[in-house]
Amino acid sequence: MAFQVALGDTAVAEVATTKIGIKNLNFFYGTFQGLRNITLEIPERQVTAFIGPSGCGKSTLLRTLNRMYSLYPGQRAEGEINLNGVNVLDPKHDLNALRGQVGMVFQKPTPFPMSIYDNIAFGVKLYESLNRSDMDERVEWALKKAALWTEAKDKLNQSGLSLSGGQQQRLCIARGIAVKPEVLLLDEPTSALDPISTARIEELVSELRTDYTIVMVTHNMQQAARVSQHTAYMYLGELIEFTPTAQIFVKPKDKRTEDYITGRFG
Amino acid sequence: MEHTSKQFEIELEDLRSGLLAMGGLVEAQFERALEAIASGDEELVEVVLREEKRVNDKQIELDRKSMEIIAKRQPAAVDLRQIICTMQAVNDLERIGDEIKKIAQRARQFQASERFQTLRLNEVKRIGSVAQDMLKESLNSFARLDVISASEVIGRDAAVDEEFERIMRLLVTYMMEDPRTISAGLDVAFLAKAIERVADHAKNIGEYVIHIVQGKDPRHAG
Repeated sequence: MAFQVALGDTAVAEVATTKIGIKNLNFFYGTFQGLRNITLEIPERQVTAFIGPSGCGKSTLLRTLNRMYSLYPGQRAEGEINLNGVNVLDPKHDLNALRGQVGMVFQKPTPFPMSIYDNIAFGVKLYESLNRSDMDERVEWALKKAALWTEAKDKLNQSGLSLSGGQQQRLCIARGIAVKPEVLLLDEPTSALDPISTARIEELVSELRTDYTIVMVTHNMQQAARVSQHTAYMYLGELIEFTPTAQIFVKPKDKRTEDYITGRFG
Repeated sequence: MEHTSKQFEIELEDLRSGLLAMGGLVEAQFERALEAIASGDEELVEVVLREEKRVNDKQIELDRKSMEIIAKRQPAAVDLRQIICTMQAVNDLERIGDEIKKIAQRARQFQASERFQTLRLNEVKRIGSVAQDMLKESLNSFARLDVISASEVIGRDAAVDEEFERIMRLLVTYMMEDPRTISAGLDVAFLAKAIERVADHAKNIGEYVIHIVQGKDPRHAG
């Protein structure tokens, strides 16, 4: 499927192919149904944002994309999530390989209690065996991509926890991209950060989209407006609307979306 | 549905009523100017020229309020369209104010001349009252966000344009017959043009109503 993207007032038509095709996805927390019949095509090398009120299922949807939920018994997904045309919900699908393809960054920075260098090398070692100089190169590459290199290059042996909150989050993004995933999932990546760190992460997301498909959950609608090309509005486990971002914030298709983004909610 | 933030609701309402207040001022000014054309009342002309400042002040006040809301609330969708269109409508009202000022100044010149008095009293009065109706209706449709009456206003603009053309043809005929009427004829032509411009701005306001409600921009559509 081709996606038409209107970017600002220049209305640039951009065509992208589907990276993740979600089809009739239902998700259950035990007996509670968290997602209802979601069908959605996430375009390649673009930023897709999920917005919606708390409990609407946007984080749940994000967590199904790399089967993060399978850590928890009683949670199950039905339907299809086709990554490059392969259904990742198939129990036979290699979970380890999936996590390598689909990286994730969480709301709160979660550096491992180890050095900055090892924070990044740790994940890489799970998938590849690199010699020392190749690993050095990879760490530098990831830190540069995550816009943390200049700040961290002189203290690679210090604990990742010694960094500021914004730096820690960028470290987590560096860690996420170091394994060279195809998709990067960001679950409210800036909600614990100050405005300057937030701006840097947003800038980073815009840069990363040239290489990665990015899916982001955010409570900050302006953030979705700033960084994403497509926005999905979810409510009570349902996908209400999936529209190019430039359009959804000017003239959404659905009245419920309009009420939410203009703050006429509940 | 109302905004969760009552304060935001109040700010938008304040902007809306501010625009209508400005519209009321402009309507009253237009009434005075047309009256001055008919009666040649010098005092009315003075009032119009004096009150023009209030219209301009309103423009500045409403633009400032709009910018404040945008800065504070980052409005989206219908709210964004309403604020942007309010700013544009304010601009149109200010321009109508300028046209009205020109009309009032013409009224002064007419006092010195007896020529074209019937044309002024009949033809100009007619086009003036259509423009007046359009202005009133455009503001009403903005107040009620009424797409149907806004469409009517837009539709009536063509009639005003035709009326203007008709007045011009009349004037040209007179002026060709007797070159001594050229000076007075041009005065009436400029007057009619100013009134025709008021109708154009009223049409614009009607178009903003459609943009706010339906989210599609009707400008320059056929």
